[in-house]
Amino acid sequence: MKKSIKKSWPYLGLALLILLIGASLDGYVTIKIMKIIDAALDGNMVLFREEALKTFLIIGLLFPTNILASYTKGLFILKSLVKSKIYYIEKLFDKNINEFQSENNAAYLSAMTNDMNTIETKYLEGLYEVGNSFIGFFVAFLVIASVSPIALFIGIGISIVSAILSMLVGKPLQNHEKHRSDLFQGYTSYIKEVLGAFQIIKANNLNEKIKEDFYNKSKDIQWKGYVIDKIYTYIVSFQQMLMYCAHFGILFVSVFMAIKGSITTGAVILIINNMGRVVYPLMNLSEWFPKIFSVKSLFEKLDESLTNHDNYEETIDLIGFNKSIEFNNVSFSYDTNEVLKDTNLSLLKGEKYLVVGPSGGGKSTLLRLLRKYFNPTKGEILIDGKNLKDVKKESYFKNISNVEQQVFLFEDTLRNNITLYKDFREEEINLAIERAGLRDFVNGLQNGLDTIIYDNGKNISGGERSRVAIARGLLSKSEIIFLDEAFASLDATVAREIENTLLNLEGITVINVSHVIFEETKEKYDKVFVVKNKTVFD
Amino acid sequence: MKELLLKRKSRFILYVLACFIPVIDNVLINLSFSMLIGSIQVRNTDYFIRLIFIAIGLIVLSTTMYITSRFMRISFMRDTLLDVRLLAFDKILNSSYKNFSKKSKDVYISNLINDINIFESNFFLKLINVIFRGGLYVVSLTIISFMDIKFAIIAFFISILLFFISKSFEKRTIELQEEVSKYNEDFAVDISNTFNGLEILKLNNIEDKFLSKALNSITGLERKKFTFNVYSDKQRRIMELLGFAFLIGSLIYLSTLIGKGMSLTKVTFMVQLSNGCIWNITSILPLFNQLKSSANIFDKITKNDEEFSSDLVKEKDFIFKNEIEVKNLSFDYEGKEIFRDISFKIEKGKKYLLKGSSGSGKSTLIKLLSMIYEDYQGEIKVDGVDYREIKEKSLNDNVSFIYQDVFLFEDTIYNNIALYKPYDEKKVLDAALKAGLDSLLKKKEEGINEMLLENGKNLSGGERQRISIARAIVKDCQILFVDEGTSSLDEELGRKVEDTILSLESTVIAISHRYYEGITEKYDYVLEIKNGQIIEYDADEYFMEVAI
Repeated sequence: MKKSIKKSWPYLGLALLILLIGASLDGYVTIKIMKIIDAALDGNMVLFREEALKTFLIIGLLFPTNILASYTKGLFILKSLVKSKIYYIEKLFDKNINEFQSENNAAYLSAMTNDMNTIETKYLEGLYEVGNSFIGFFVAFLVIASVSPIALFIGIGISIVSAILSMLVGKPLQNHEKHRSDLFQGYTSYIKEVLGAFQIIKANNLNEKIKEDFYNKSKDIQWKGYVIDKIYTYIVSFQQMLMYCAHFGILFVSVFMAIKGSITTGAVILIINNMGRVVYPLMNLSEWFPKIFSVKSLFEKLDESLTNHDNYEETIDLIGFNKSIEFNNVSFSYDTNEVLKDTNLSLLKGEKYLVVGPSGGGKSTLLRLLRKYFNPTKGEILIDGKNLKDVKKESYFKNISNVEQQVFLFEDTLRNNITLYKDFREEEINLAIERAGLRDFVNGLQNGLDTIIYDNGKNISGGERSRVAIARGLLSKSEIIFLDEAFASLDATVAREIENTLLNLEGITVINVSHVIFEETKEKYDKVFVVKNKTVFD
Repeated sequence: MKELLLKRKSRFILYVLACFIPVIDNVLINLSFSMLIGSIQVRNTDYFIRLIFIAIGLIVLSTTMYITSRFMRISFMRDTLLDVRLLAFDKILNSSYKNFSKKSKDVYISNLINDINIFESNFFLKLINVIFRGGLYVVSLTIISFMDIKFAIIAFFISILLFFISKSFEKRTIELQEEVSKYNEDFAVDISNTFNGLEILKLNNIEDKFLSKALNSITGLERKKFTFNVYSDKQRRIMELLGFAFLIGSLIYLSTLIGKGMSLTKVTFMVQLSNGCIWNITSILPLFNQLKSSANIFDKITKNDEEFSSDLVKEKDFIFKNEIEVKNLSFDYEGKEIFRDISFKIEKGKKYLLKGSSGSGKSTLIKLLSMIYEDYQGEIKVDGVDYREIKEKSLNDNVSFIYQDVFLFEDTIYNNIALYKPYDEKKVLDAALKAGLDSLLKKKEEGINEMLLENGKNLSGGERQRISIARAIVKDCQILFVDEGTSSLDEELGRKVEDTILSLESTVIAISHRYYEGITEKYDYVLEIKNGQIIEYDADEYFMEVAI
């Protein structure tokens, strides 16, 4: 992820360039001030007025420079954040389905919000400030050198020592930041859960318990932040002390030199003005370096969560399904939990299959294997003689269509929710709507198929959603249709009708995983598979 | 906002004092500086060496003061921020179900996380800066006026001028920050939705379209933030530059005083103080603006904005011994008419099956009977007492729900069934068995004390449903509302559970598409909803006539 941000370093360069121009103008002003003071102490009022005028002119130049600085800084942060967020989302979308589902969505949301926020405030702003500090240091260096190299080197020596000490002191903060990020993740998940259970909480008068839980979790987060703050305090106060010592040290030296007559009073003022620009940036550095480094473990955590662990190379493009899907001694376990063992079955093209079984017995797992979310831990699944493991996911997905129980509706027209953005003729769409029993629903909408569905279809009942999912499946013209508890929310009459339609589809292989069984239609299936006790009977 | 800060009055006062400590520190350091510079004029080495010792002592003092000040502040901040989190959460938790479901869950998440993050990083940081700089301004100006009243007056007027210039930026700053907050909210909702549907998107190979939608959202959000950041940064820089200009001006003015014989120490000290004056007045004002916009965020997430609140006093208890009577009930939802002038009775102890096509209002009827919706026309009375006069808590204690969507807490199965009420352990186990959970409990290592993952991710649909059923059984209440309670179960188990439900003593009002021969007949009545009307049938009549 760091690499994606590196691409926006040209913008950082631009921002720093502008800062350089501004700092140079600043430096020039301090030289003018030196001349003004010395002129005043010498009583040379002509020179005094001359230099004063020049000074105001330079200040005039500083206005546009500063405004440009604001733009360039904002631009750098904009480009960097956009790049890193885009990188994150693209990689996330790239994850295999089962790997994406292995972490809950709140974790991803937390990464996009909390973690990105941390990157912005600690890493990006840190880089900018560090650049700013170096530039200030550089310009001030030159200005002081033009007056007294000795004072300069003493000043530098002291500053280097304190910079090193700052960096060392910043190390322990890394672990705390990562822990804080993990805490935020847990916090976000918890909140999501609670919000989802709102009605249950109210209906069971659980307000107090939930408030207590929430209080404890929030307390955790706040206290962790507090601990980090305390450590910061010690670090920063130590660094501040170093800065004062440095500042005063330089002052002693220059005043002494002025008392002895080797430099003018004006020069002392110049040294003080610019020493601030040497020392203060370094103090910023000692605050920002620890912050920048502490983000390192955050990057690692994010990169880890984005990688696909299963990097098996798939080589086959599946064009059409022609013969059969065979399970040969297929076993599957989630970690150590064995769900299927030595399963053998055959699915032939164009046939209709019903899959039943007790819940938790492996039906969903069977489906997931058939959808290529997972590969079998033992044995193989062959499709038209080819190992399913070797088939490319995208090409496989083109050949199957899925009707699931939890239907995802997106904010777009009903039409697009059914066609899923593929092109179909109006007649085809209407046929699918009829067959899915959606005609009444569509007719009841003011804008018909062009009605926009908002907020995951909050106002659409469960039955209607199921019918949309079925319409999707019917429309897609894929050779294999998987149904996953698709009839659970439907009226018996409607369900039977749709089931009949599916059973009459020619040439299409239908695999219906279901609890809802009708005696009449049961006969029409070519085979009924029972998934029980880690294996499949027919 | 004020109540929040004043809640811990004494600690807040300490906090403010803690913010003043750096002011004292600042003045003392400046003084020793000036004296050192002045010693150039004096040209006395012994005096010089004495000053060195004073300076060292001051550094040690300064470090100690810094640590003290910071510690005094961060514990106050920690506790206050905790309060903010709780207030924001309370606001959500206390809203009625109707208002709650008006906004998407992700808006609330944005409030509880993003907005509080913004608040945390903005508010206190700005607050201490405001107090510190304000304090320094006042103290510096006071000291200057003792030394050169003319100069003090000029400094004062210029600072007022700068104040008004800064104020002109205020409105836009608040506008922009609120835009960012709203955009954040919308973004969180969108992206969360997309994550929820990613599986389907991938299966249908349309994730690219949504990817580019997400990318556009991201870019849009960052641009909004860009506009805000640039605006406030610009504002800050302009004010700083104006202050710088004044500083140079004052330096020049004071340099002329050297010619008139003022000591270098005094001149240097005044320059430093006017520095403290102007730099701080210029940066205090943008800070003030940002402080205000942070306070607005606080209001947004904690102020109660419930619209409908009943004027009637809700004090009566829910007592159901005979019947619930619904009279001339009409109800609209989001402009659509659901019920028109319906009337029927629910007799205690009887089992009712609700039938009707999808979207006809079955779930809505349950929501009306369970007090979730209040804005209906007509009457609902239980044993003669109007629903509108009954305490919500009292109703909740007496009803149970079995829904299609089951929410499970990240806790043990036991707690998910008992829902943290102090039931007899045996009762809970009994309910679990009646709900058909014995096979699940045998499978799990810890049995009923097995911990569930986020929303029961490690359970199948049917297992979750059974926990929901166990919950209802153990509560053993007067009314049981069921909405597709056995839809995720297979035939055999569904029969068993439906039988259990129908054998309970509670009054049951259920929606179900399933037909279990021999069991479903045990319902007493069937209420069919059609076109906003209700027709009541005796169960035997219904099952003989209406073929399934």
